[in-house]
Amino acid sequence: MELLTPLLGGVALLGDPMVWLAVLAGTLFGVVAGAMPGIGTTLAYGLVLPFTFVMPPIIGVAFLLAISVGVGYGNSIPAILMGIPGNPAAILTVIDGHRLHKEGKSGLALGVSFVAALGGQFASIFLFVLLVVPLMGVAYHFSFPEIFGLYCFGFLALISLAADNIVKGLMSAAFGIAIGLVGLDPINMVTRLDMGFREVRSGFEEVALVIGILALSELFRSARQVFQWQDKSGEAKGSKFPSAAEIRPAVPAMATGTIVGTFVGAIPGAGATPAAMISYQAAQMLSKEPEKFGKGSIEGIGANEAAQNASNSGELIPTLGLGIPVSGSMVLLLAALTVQGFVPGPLMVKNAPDLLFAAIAGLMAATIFLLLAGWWMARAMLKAVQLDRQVVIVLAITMTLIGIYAINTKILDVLVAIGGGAVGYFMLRYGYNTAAAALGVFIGKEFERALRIGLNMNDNSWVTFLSRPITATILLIALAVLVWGFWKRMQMRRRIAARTAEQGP
Amino acid sequence: MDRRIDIAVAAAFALLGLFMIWQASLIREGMMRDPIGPRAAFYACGAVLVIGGAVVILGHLRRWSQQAHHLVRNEGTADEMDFPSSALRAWGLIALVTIFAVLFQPLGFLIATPVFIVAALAVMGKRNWGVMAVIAVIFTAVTYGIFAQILSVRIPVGPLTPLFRELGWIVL
Repeated sequence: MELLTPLLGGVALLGDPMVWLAVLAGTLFGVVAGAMPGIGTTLAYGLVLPFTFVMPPIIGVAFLLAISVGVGYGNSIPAILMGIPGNPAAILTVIDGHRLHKEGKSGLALGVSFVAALGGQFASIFLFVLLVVPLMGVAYHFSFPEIFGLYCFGFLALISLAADNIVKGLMSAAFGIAIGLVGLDPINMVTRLDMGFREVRSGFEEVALVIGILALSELFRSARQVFQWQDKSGEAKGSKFPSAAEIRPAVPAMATGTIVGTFVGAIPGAGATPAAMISYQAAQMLSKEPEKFGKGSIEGIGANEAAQNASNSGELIPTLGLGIPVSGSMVLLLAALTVQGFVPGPLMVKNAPDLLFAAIAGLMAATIFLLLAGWWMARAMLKAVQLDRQVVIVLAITMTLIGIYAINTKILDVLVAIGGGAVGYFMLRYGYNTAAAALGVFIGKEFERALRIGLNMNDNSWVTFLSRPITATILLIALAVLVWGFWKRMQMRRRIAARTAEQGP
Repeated sequence: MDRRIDIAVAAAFALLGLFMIWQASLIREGMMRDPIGPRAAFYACGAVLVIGGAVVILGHLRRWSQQAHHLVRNEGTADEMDFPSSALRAWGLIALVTIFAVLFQPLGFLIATPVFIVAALAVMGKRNWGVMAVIAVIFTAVTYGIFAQILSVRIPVGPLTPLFRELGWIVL
């Protein structure tokens, strides 16, 4: 595929009014969800996923990616005006943005955030295309052993980079894979771990389980606390959009954030939060005024916001390029495509390039829509925070359950999702990795199939299987990432122990 | 986080792992043989759960005497500071959601959903019954309209089925 083809395909899809309608709905929903503290992209996807099953795949992909863009922009609003990060990635926006707000410079903080989010998003689309097209070319060299290696890499990177405790991360992945494997064996068709229940002979409904583990768990966890988000919409009144001269000093930091965000977003398990953290540090190192960071720096806001939005494009690189979802939201995106009949894997987009075009169209259209309406929405969306938090949680749970029922009109799916949500609640509370578990559920079957068929293809020889050049390279990288993760955790624990010893009992 | 609950969660995963290994040993080998077989993946996952659970538990037990209290460094998603939290509320909601799922088909969507919403809001501390009822009824009507009428999903209506058939709102 030529480099320009995806871009032209994406632009061509913008001629379809249905794409615009889906993007409009997705962006609006994303901004509202992002403006509500605690609702991130994964939960937002979980709430609307069942609606995508009745949409044509192209519209569904554009709709979901518009939500990502909306959430990325929306979460900066409460961060700046209320000092509450919509999700962990917005923590650094709180430090600088809320400080500026307290100094009476809300307009400057919101304006820089607006330009950075949209600029970062738009520029990262081109970086995404630049990286995904060569990756798709490589995909033809991937057979079952290489796919097995890729899945190993996806799991181990997700566990070692995202989990606070690697042992718990490994347990999460093992739990997910085992649950995903319940049902028919892919090679000799015997049923496995069905406990004699006829309903489970073909396995659990993966989408229901994934929504339960990722979305319901978060809603159950949120129900632990009863409080209301504070209404600060009045404080945004009179905020004027800053002049170009005021924004200009933050532009280099935005560029840094865009590049770092796209690359870090592409790493399994990394996502928006590390992307924002790394780009913030990089922008501070490159800044002429590093001392301002943390004290109301517009460069800090620019780097952070650009990186968060650029990571949306970054996450799509391995998801669409290789069929490895690198975060909870990407697992849900692929789950939506699976319901539509697509088979996740390195050849998915190669066989259906329209999906890639739709992703680009969704990202582009959402950015254009926010460019036209985003500034006005910033203030209007603060009203969303006035919604009663308890009502939002209850209605979100109800909507999710009905959505899950709608997949196959089976109540068993709803019960499976509730079970997944209850287990996920404990996982969230006690440091287990719900994204790794969801990934396990989703690709567990393919993971095992790739290993077994791969071995079969290689005369049942482990040596031949593991010594294939691409497989060996990927597995070695995966192992290195795991060792590095262990080493980093040990270093962190030593630092914490030293600090505790210094502070005394 | 409370290390006692962390130990209980790890123990639950370890027990699940043991159960998985036992159940995997009962899987038939099947006609087609391959070096991995249908049991190996469950053995591996079960082993990771058992060993991982043991590592987490032993880690806590090793440091048990070093700390007088049970609260240790949080590894999971923390609650919002400044607001009290209640695990009982979350579990009450999970129980309610399960009851809702069980009663969904016999009672039907249009009866079970508003009752569930009102009960769930009550669990979440709401006491304004009139407003709660209005929210529940409007939400139920709108979602029924979207799923049953627009998306053509077959939503059960329980005892209302004969009436809806008579009105021609459901065909089967």
